[in-house]
Amino acid sequence: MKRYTAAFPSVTLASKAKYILETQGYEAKLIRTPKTLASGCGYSVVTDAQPQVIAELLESYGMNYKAISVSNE
Amino acid sequence: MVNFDNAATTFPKPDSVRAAVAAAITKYGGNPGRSGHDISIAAAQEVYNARKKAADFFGAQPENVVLTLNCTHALNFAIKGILRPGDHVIISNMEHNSVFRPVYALSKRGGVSYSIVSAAPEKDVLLRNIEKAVTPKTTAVIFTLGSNVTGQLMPYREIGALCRRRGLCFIADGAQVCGVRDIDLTRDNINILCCAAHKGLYAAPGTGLLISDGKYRIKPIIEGGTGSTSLDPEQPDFLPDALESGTINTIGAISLAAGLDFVNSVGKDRIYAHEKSLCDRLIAKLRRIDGVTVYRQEGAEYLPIVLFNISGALPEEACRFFNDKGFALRGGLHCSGLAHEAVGTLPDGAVRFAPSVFNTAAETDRFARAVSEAAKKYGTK
Repeated sequence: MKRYTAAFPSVTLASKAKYILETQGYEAKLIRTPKTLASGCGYSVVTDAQPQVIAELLESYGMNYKAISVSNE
Repeated sequence: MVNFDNAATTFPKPDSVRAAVAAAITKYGGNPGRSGHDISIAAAQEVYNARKKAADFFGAQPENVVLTLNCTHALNFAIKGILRPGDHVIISNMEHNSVFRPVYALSKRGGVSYSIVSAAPEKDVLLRNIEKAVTPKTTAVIFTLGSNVTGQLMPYREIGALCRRRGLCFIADGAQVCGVRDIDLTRDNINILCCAAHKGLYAAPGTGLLISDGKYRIKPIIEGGTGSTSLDPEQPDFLPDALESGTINTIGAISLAAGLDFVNSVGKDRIYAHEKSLCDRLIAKLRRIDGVTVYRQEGAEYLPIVLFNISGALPEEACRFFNDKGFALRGGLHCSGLAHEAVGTLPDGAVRFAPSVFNTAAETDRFARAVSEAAKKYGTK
């Protein structure tokens, strides 16, 4: 199954995204943001939710993210 | 010892909080928000859990819950992070030094001016006092939600509504109110709530909260490592990172989560009703003892705190007597010269009785007998 990674500027925002995805029934795991996804320090969520779903869910909670990509995990 | 000094910090803590602290130091020893290994991530998850519970408890967003050392720390962040040179602020005459001292310091070196309004027992009078103090330069109202000295409960919803109507930032000192009365940032129009997690929320000491509604940007007064945007020499401009430099108190955060669960399981209303019943019980007995003065005003509403004095005994002297009888209370000025000036108990202050959910009627009755003994002993001096 494909996984997608959404990057956030902080562990708190990544944790919030993880919580939101899990309450919607998706898998979600916290990792340090891969350098290929975004520069600087931050945390990401690896999930089985599709990018469109991720974007819509986060938008509905007023959350921004730095980037979403297909995960190599 | 029976602790009646719970306004300073609640003790004992619930079993669940003690267990949470033990689990925290055993299992969650990683530094949250710093690394990608499982130990750090596990700690980060627990900390987020605490933020979420605090956010749900106070009607906020988890990312706007900032963990601090204590309420004083939170108030300093809020006051010094919001006010700018030229600003005017309004505070009450019942403020703790954690509000008055930062405001006073800013008035001395930061170009801020302030007005102190009387926290009259009548709600309408108190609100009019605030309205009359507003000037074109007023930017904030910084008010205790409940006095740590007398227990006077302020009409904070009405103060919040006034601030919203006048476009003022409402910074609330919730140290004595959190955990016993209902506070919701949105409903109560509180822009920044500062509280001590180690009092009515039953968390470990070394834990406080600054909770923002996100409307006002709080300029950091401490810069440092946040585990985010590390390439940028500027402090992050998003919460909670902007105000959380350095390693946070993970154990405190985990104890906060357990404390919030405890308060939710018992119920704020039940906790308040129980503690209030002990205070009412004590007041009824104190009023029958010659030489005892209880400081309560008609028309005011009170938190579960009773301030009193014994004729012939300095407050700290009385508290030494009570300590020898097995009761822990705080006597003196309670870090609030302003409040004691307002109450008329300067220069020596008074004795403060502050029960927790764990105190009992039997303990209160025994304490009342100790007060009676003290009144006889010191009244003959």
